[in-house]
Amino acid sequence: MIKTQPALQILLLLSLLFSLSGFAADGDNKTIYVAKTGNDANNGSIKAPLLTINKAESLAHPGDRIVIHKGTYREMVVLNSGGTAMNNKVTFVAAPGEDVVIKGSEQVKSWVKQKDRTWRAEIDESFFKGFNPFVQLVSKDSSFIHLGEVYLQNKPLKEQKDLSGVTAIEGSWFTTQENGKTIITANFGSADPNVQLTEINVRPAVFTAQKTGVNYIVLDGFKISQVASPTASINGEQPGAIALNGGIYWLIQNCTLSDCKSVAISIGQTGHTYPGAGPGKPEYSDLSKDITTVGHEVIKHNHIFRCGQAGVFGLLHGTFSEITNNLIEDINSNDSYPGEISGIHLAVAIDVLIDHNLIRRVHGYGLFMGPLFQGAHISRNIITDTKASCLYFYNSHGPALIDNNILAGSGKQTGEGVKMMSAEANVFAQNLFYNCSFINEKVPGRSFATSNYLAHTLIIKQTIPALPFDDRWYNNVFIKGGLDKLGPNADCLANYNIYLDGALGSSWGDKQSKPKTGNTGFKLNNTAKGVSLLLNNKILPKIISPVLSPELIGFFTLSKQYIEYPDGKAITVNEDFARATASKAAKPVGPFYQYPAEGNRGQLLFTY
Amino acid sequence: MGLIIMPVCFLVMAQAQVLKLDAPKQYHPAPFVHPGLLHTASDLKRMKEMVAKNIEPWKSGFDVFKASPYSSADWKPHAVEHVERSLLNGAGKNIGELEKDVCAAYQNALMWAITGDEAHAKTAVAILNAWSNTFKVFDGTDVELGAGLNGFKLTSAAEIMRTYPGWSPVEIKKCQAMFMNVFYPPLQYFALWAHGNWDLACMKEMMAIGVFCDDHALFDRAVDFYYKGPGNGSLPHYIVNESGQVQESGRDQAHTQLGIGHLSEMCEVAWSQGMDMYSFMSNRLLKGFEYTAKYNLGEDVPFEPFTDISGRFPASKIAVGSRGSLRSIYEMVYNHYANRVGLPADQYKYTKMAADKLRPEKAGFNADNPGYGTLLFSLKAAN
Repeated sequence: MIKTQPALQILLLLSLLFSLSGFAADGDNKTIYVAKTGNDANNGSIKAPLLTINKAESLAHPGDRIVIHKGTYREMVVLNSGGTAMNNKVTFVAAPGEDVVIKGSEQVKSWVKQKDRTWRAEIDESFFKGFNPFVQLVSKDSSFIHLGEVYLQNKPLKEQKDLSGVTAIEGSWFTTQENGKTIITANFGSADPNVQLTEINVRPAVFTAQKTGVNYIVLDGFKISQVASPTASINGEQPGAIALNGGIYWLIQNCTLSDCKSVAISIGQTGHTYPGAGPGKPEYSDLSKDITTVGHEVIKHNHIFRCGQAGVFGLLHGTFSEITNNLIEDINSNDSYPGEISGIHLAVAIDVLIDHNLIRRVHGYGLFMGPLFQGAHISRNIITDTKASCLYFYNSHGPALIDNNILAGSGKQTGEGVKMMSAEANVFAQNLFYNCSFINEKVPGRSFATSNYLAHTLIIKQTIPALPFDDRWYNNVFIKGGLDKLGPNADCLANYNIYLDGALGSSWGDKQSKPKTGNTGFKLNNTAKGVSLLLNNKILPKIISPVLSPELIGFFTLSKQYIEYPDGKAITVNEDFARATASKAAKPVGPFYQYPAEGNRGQLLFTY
Repeated sequence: MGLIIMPVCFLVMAQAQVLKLDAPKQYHPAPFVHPGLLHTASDLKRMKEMVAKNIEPWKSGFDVFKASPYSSADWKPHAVEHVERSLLNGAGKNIGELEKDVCAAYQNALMWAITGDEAHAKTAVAILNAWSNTFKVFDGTDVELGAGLNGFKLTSAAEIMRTYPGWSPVEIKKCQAMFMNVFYPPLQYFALWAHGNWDLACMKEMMAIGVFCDDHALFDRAVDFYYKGPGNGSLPHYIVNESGQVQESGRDQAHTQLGIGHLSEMCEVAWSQGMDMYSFMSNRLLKGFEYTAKYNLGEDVPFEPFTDISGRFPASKIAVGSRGSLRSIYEMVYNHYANRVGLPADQYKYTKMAADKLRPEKAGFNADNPGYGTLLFSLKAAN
């Protein structure tokens, strides 16, 4: 998966060869080195590295590379300036093959054993340097849950609402304030916290843009963890362990982000509510109208886990961005985080590509899109084990393309699988839906004034209510759950689908679709870093389906566009999950044009 | 799913609105008649003769027409490069300039045809040339309306002026290019998500550009939409039942009259080209006029709770908004059915009452409808 890593290695080797005695310079650009053996009084050359990433940041100019050597860094890197163009970025990269850990936590070694097997630490306010997560609740609704966390040997312990809980439960903690000090009482079981690695989070971010306009940043290869990222809101502040603060053209790749209290990667900018919004003054109409000034982020091949609110989150800057090949798992895993949880949540994300991510074990939504995601392309993702719907689409006129995804819904447990609320014109093609119920409704009780844009722009064209219609389903496989819940009058189109294991088609379409009984043997075989598909593909009936051309999918009259790439070229859905191209019309319906031979132990869908 | 949001529905909704972008059948393969929009050469000749002879109702119709500032040969164009018609607060750049100029161009063209005074021809041509030379960008949230309404009046002016020897072929070509490049693109896909008057503004201008630019494909697309377009603007989707209820009857009476006015203008253009769109669906157009006139003249009409073809505008009762404010749209339709076709009088009773009440018809609202129907569309002298 890490196609760039060897290339980076070669680049770094070359730069080492040419710069054995100081900065590696390419024209005016230089490489700045950081190491745990360094000193911020040094000049940052390979022989005299700096000690902190922040110091390196302060010396970096557009085009410079900051190479960070192995070790654990405990700092919040504040980015004051970025690059100026795609070929003039500021790059922060872990030295090849080295573990560069950046933590939002500090070690605590001042634990005092109490009579009841618990340990107590009294922490001065000065320890927190102005940001104390142990006095901040996650949100008003979070009862006792603080931004703070306590970790033993890199594992988070569970916060309790009172001291008695701590006494009773091994691996838990409770916090209170006494005489201006933060008191943490924890139950470490048999471990001695002064001997073992014990940490508490103290920083709201690890990489954060100091202001909007810090653009063209590369973050590559870091292990980021234990960050007290405050709650983000689409209509409010949008902090994250990595917080772009409205920065554009960032590339974040090959990073691991874990134990971020709220959001791991926030690509958003601060939003606000729109009281009194209407067609004359629609929601989000005060955001940039120039597509070249937003988004264009690339978030690829990152592993995000054990975060509370979302893996990737943001208002506006999902626009023209690509979120690909990420493994996002165990979001809100202890189910204690309040509010709306999701693997990914993007709003005002025009023409975003969300491709080949594995999103699993989310106590919330897998992928939450909206408001406004015209032109979004959601392709080849595997979403499974979500407490709420795999997909949640909210308040948009579309069109959006959802193709070649493999979604295993919670189905009968919650009645959800794919939930669309005032979200129109979604095209589902070649997906495999297992146990997914479809909900397609208007948001009750209010009529949104939902904007759509001139295609591939942020120029608002029309602001009218979004309604639950104009969706299309072609060439999908439905197992256990189908489209029958959508009622007899759904103003949508569906055809060339296969319905298996009790899934039922729509009453209003599906003229050439086929139902079939029999056991599909569907199973997603989850491994530590990947997932495989087990499916009795022999059971799939053949359907002669026309090519899913723009003409067949249709023209979207409100947005005046076909399903299109960001450059305006209309999309023909003629590739499968494996990027194989359809050679003929008669092919299996669903995300694979060809299944592995019998006896295969499963089809590998994703590996990190 | 559209049905879920409304309390009652008597009409079964169609499947998702699909706009076919391939060419429809040829409705008018023969060369177009010129001038051939709302007024043919014989229509203009009739107006000229009747006005010259002070015959009613043309005389009173001409008196109100002539008094309009837009009929003055002194009108100076205010052409700009960029016009925006928008619902957004603070937007709407230059739309007022365009609206006034298109009215002045159309009315000066007619003044020239009726009076023979070349000063009016020069003014009309000056306005047309000014915009042809300057206008580049038409946008805004409501650009379909802007392009459709203003375009139709400006195209109508151009179609009359094409017979004026003082308007050079090069200038005419430039004007045709403006319609094709500035007015047509924003209306080419109609407005299927909107109330029917939006589609109709697009349709009538598309039809007009088709004639003025001799582009049969455009003409055919517009005519095809009238008969069977997937939006609210097609005749079956706009005048929704045999009682004559209009898609916008549950919205307000001003937009309802605007929309049926557009439908009738398309029929009149078709008539100029030798086609009869008036009689489609057993004179459904007239039923829409009768229903609307009756209600706006104070009588009750039946109303079926109804959700439009786009599913966005459910209506449970007829709207009283702007009831009684008759718009200048009735003379054309009354004269067609009474004096051209000769239907029994009870079939156009309320349309005639509305026309009688308004006579002489005054301006259409802004650039919405042509107005001045007494002058422009009367076919029979007053007794």
